[in-house]
Amino acid sequence: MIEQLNQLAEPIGAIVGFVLTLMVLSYIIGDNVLFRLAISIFIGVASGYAAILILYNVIWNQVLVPVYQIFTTGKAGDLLSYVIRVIPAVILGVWMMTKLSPRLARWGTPVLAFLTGVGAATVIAGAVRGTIFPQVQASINILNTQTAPPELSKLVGWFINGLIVLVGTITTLIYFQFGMKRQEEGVPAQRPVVLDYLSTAGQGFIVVTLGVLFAGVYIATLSALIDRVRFLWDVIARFF
Amino acid sequence: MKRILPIANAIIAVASGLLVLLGYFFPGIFGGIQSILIGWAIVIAAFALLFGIFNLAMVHWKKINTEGQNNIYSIVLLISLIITIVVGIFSGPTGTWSLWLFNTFQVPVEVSLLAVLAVVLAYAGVRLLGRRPKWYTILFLATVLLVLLGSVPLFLIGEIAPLSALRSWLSQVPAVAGARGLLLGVALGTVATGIRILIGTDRPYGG
Amino acid sequence: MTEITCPLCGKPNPPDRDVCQFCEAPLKTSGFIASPDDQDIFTQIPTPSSQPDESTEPGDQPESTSSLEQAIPDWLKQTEASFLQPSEPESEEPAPDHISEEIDSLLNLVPTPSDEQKPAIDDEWLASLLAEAGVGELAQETLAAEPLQEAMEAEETGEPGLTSEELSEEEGLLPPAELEKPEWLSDMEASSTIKLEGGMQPSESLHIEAPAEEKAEKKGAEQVEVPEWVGKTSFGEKPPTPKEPETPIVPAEIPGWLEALRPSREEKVSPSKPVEDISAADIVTAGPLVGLRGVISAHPSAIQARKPPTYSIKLRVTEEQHARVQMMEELLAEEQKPKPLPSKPILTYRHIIRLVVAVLLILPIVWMVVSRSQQGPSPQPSNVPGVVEFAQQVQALPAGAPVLIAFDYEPGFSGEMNPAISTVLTQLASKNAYLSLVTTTPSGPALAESLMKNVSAGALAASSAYSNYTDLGFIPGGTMGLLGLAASPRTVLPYSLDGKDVWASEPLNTISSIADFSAVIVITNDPDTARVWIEQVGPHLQTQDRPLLFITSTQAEPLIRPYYQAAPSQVQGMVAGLAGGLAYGGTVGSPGQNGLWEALSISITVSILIILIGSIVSVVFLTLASNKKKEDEERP
Repeated sequence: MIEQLNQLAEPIGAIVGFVLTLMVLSYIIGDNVLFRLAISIFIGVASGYAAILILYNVIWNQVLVPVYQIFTTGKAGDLLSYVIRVIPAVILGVWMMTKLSPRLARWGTPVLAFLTGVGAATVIAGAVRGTIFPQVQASINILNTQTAPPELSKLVGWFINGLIVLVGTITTLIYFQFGMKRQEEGVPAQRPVVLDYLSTAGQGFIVVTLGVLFAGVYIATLSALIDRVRFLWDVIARFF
Repeated sequence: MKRILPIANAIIAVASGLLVLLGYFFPGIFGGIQSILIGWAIVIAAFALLFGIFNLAMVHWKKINTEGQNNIYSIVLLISLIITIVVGIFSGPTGTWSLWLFNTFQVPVEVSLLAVLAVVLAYAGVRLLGRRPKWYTILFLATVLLVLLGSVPLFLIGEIAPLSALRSWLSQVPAVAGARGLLLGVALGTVATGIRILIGTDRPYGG
Repeated sequence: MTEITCPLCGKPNPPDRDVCQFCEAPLKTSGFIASPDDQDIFTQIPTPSSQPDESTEPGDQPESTSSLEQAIPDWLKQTEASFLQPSEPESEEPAPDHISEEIDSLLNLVPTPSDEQKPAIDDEWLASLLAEAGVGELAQETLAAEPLQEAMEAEETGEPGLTSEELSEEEGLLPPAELEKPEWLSDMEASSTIKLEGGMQPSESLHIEAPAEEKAEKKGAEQVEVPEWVGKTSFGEKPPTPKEPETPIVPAEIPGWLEALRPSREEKVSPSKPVEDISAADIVTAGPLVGLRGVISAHPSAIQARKPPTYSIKLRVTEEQHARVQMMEELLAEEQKPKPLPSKPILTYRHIIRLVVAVLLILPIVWMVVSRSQQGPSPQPSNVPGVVEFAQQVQALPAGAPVLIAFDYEPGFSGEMNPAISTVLTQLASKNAYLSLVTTTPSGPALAESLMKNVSAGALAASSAYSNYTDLGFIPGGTMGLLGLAASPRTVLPYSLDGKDVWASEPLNTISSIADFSAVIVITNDPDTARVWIEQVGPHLQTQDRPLLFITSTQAEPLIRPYYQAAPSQVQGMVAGLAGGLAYGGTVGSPGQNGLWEALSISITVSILIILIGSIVSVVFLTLASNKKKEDEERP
């Protein structure tokens, strides 16, 4: 029975996938019941799988299995580590359940405050040492003569490209600066003319970047469309 | 209590953030505390995800109770959620039946959604110049067309070398410049927002 | 016993009550409630004609301890005193209530000025009274004003007395009295007779009295039955002379200014006519002022003691106001109701264009897939930046090296990225690298397992599945989870997804931090996820000079490239999109992708044509529309 079920699983899966693909592609015509049903099924399955993953990966593997391991091995160090690392986290996690109740929601705020503080520190450190310092250093080193090619023809190209990247980076940052100097009363605040032109240049670089991004997204979606058409054809060819 | 709780929340956020930050600068002294706090945050985040899914189920359950059988979407969602959880509990996250559910329902729908997006993006490209075009609109469209032309060999035409070179240059020079500026701007904004949270000025957690 | 009628509310009360049980008005008026001992007063009332000159001496002050005595006007007290002088006990003593009523009637009744006989009688009596009081003689023609003056004096002293109006009213009420008896006495007798019968109400008494008085006036002198106690005293008789000469009243010393105010005898103080003609005014029928005219109504209905009216707090709303309120409520209810969206047509201009675009895109792909034609070569690795470095890094890994692979991409991008992933996994498997699979997205483990099975089944073509890997599972927390993974992977993921302690056995038993892995390969389609990996894990890897490699989508490649092109480089190798995957496959000798590249080629070509033609058409239509608009504006 189970083996028959296993054998039928693959063709049934193909047919179900076929139907679901058509239901979603029907959105090209417009929003309809079939599309919404397919999305509802997708959300249910995705949420259920995420819940299973957390139950296995965190609740079972990190909270419950170590207890069994500690009782079987009897290591005090493991117990101490478990008491320090796991039990407070579980208590805080359960405490956060108060957020589900409108009446008790404010009592769960300290846990969110803890998460926010830790997250803020993490992203600050990562942004500083992972992006700001290396990228600024890269901008400084872009015209580093030590990395220059020896050939003259390539040197010109290297220099121009480097200059464009440097100017583009600086003008892009200028574009995001919206501060203006306070003027006298009645005089509208305006940015200096030089900054205005540089900002426009930065806008141009941003537009080019967004164009490249859009093209990349379009190619990715075309790849998905090709994959679906191939899948549909494979199913049709298999069953019909 | 109304005054104490917001202050306590701010103190908790600032203290925990400072301890984690100090672990970067003084890993020998604060590295252990940083590791413990990060461990707590990971487990709490898992609980948060679990409660989010539970809340989703409750919302749709309430919808079914209020609207009855008229809201078939909520019924379908809850049925698929329950079936997936039951199968996953018995089969495990990487079991055969869990993977079957995943490959049969989740993958086709997600890929199909992206496929529909291709049609929508193409339609958006067609309508781009339908409104009053400005210089950056034309520049944007020109960039898109150049990148597309240089990405693949054109059908019946083949690869056009200048276009490919132009596409490469666009991707490696102006796009990198703009992307670097964007990344630096995002990083600076992230640092500013994080510092505001760590000094208690911003309290996105409420209170 | 006869019930007492309340003079205020007119309701009957028991005779033993002093105050009304309904409105708490005094039932027995002050000054006229004569104790049984004092009832002799009324037997000693002299007739005015009998004692024109005799001065009445103030007799013994009537013994009355009642507080009502204080309300008695002085002139009346003096009158009583004079009556008390040769006091002879009267045989009959009328009941106190009757006495009070009679006293009321006495107060109410005023001799009419029209009666010439009365003034003749009253003048002498009054004159005697006035002489006793030291006021002085008054002219007979002015005696009609005496009652008015006395009333005014009584008013000044605050004593209840007769006002000028009342006096004139009394004058109008009094029937023409006998030559011997004053009218007021006759009336009193009449009223007392009626009240003795017990069926009279104060309100009625006066009405009865009035017609009686009117009849008496009409008939002229008439014999009226006088109560016994009155009858014993004849007004024609002289007042009893005191047995002992009484000490005359010493006139008080009048101050000069008061003396100046005294009207001289030559002055004729003629009584002023009443300011207001009250002859037609209503007669008071109840209360202490019964019989008077022009009195502010003391009818029970006017000043009846009653509870203050309770006003309803209910808002009085008229019909029109009610209708307006209903209209407002309906307007507000309509605002809260979600308005149904207007029904949209099934097919619009936009739907048609979108359908045409979809058909134009899908048809070439279908044709290419169906025909399975492979027209062109795969992309060259040198043309795709990052592929060569990626391949070199993978080639440089030693056999059996622990490699950490992060499956952080969405299932939707599997069509684009699976060729590259499969090729990389195949190459790693061929090097027998120990693969540790992690993910920060919930769908990662399923994707990883599916791909590993496909690689085992298809690419490797091995008899048994590739088993030199472990699935460490899902890391929650995003950025925080990656920081924890970078610092201490075994703390964050103590067991594999299937519950095994993989850190206790080789080769993971040598791993204490992420830098202990030979390489970290991140598979992601999201540029933000890539940035987080670079920021959190990259610094740890750089300390040990470990490569951080990316397999990414075409959409994320522009934002990862700055990290790849940085100096020093933060990303050591990158395979982006379908082109990168095919190019990487070309480096390792992987077979083609079954028409995938050609399908992509034709679809992109068609897309370019669609966008170009569509843009040109849009510009043309826009130009035409703007020209038409300008023409419409220019037209008058």
